Amino acid sequence: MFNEAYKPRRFKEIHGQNKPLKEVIAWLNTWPGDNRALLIHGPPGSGKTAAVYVVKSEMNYDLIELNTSDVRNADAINKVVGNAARSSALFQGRKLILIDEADNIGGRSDMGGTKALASILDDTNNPIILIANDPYKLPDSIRRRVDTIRFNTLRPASIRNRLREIADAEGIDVDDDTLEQLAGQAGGDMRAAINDLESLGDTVRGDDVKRLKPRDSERSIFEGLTAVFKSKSTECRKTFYDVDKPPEEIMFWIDENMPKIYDPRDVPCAYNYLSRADVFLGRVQRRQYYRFWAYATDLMIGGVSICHRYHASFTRYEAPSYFKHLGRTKAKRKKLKEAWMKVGRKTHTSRYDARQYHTLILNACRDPEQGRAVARYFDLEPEEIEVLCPDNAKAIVTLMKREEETKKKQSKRVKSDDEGKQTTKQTQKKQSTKNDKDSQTSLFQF
Amino acid sequence: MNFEKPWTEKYRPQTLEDVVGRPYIIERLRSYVERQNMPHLLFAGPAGVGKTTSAIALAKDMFGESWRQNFQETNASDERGINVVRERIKDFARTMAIGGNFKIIFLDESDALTPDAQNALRRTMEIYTSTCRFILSCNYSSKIIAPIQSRCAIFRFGPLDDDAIEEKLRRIIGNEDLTITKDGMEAIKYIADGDMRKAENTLQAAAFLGKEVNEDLVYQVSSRAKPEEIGDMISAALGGNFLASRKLLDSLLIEKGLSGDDIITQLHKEILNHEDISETVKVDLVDKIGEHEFRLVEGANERIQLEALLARIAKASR
Repeated sequence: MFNEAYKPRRFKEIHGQNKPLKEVIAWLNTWPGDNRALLIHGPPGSGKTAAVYVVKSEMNYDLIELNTSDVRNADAINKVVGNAARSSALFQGRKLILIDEADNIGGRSDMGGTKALASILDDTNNPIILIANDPYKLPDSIRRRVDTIRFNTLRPASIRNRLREIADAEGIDVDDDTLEQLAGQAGGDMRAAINDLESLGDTVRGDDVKRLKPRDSERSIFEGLTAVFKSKSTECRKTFYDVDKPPEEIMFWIDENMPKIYDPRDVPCAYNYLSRADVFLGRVQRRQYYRFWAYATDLMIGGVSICHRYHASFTRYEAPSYFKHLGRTKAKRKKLKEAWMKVGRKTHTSRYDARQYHTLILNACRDPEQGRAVARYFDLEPEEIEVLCPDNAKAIVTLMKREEETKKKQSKRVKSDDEGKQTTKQTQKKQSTKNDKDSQTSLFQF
Repeated sequence: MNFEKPWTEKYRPQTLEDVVGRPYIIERLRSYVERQNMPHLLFAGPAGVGKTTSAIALAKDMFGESWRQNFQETNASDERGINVVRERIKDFARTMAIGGNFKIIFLDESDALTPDAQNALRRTMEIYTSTCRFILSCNYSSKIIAPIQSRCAIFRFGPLDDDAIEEKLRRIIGNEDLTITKDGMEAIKYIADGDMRKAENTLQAAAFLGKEVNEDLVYQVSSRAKPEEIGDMISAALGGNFLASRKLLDSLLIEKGLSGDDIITQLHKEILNHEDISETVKVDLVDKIGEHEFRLVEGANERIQLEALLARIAKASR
């Protein structure tokens, strides 16, 4: 693998990113400065990770890295990053913590990861660098706590220079024009260009390069939005072939920005199509029938585009404010249903009417102690508390867990005290089986 | 404020005597207790007006200590199939009453039973009259098949009047170390609209925010916007300022945590009340509001659909 073998090791082997590289070095030299963490963002193959590795070896840091191949839930982050962050550098070498692909933390297996990370960022004895392609995917709680440095798309000339160094070292027979062509096709992605060079063998001619499939660089959502708002035709949907975002997210990008850009007279027309697109997304959810996505995207992209008739005023695009409030999955709906069944049983209502108790439960949950009382009264499991009181669930579940443990300890103690006492034995047995059952369910939850 | 249990449970009347606002119904139910006998009953009326409460209180007065053994509650909207009637209800119906002449099966939301299940129920009601009585509750008696209606004494529970609600709330407030302002009480009564469960829930939720319950706390915890908030949102849309009206929408959806259908219900009411919209446009908008609510029911996203609705209102002004 050329990409491994020719990973840059010296500052001078980094091509075309002098300015951001200097900023990274300056940031480390003035650390802790204003912020204790740094976010490096930029397109794939622009040299973000490579830069950090060069910094590590040239400046003699011990690097602790966490990337997507690692589990990144709250526990793992606290253990790996938290320990490294808290350790003092007195007796060991200087530490540098790298969290690569930080925009991919989350999802089910990484529960609580970003939250744990945010609290570590506030309290670290060592510098932390986050790397991400898309800073917008990071939650506000992280973005607020970092300095940012952007790595721009590499220019073809920079890529060509690096390819020349590698070709010479490997003894590949290739001329400058061909390398230039190769570099141009890579769309600013150094890693892609090096892979292409490697795939072409020892002797490379211009024709070989032409046969390479041009690489799809991920066009930014911004380009797509511009096409929607400017083209006034359904053709603009083609721009989105390369935008790597699910339809629902694209819908919310359009939703956020369209009414700020379009003339008010065009807004109703655009919302007509956008809301129709939303209906199809809902149908995808309900029926798990993904072909409906095609209608949804055509309506939201083409439909909104053709509604543009009057003068539009372009401003800077903004990330959707509402998107982060979403996320009601099938699993969540099922949990909710079970939770309302339980509430209904205690309040003599159907699970449908039991939802009337939501306001009461939400307000009680503002205080974790009261939230735990709610869980106890309605006999709710931690996962059900998570769907009923998402804002404060973590604190409540911690309390529930603690209570569970004390109960278990007590019942063990009581059990050993009562050993041999005939009269109480039976009730005791009942209680301990109940507790065993509880601890079994809690095993599944945590 | 500590959460012990919902006040709807803590203060649920334990005897018929404690049920407020239903003098006529309660008098008849108490005569059943005196005679220790009763026919099948059908309680009809909207949510939160005392149907379940009256059934439970009747059972307690009728059976005393052994009421639990002689009373079974099933919610038909959770288990609505014919099997519920054929198995669960029948099993309970055919066993002997303990320490009494009969037992009571309370079938809540029985208008949710399928017609098949209702027909199965009709036979069960006849066969086991020696051991058991049914109390069916429903929102609309017209949804109960005629043969069942003819076998029941029908009680209509209308919405509770504001005095009954205030009387009950004052009892709770006195017991819970709370105070309430005049406008706070008025706000709860407005929101409750005759529904005691809603009134008690609102009061308890507000009590988590402050020991003196006032109008602001009430609206903060109710899943209702203040009528002015909805009105402002409509006016902003009508005035062509879509972004301003969307901002108001976001504050309701995100900060107040209202659901899309809460907001749509109120939009419907306020559109009809709005002075700057012509009658023909009102009718057209009602049609659109219904369409967007239908989409929500089908799983569409509430923010997008409500935005589209606001955009339609904006269009209507031209």
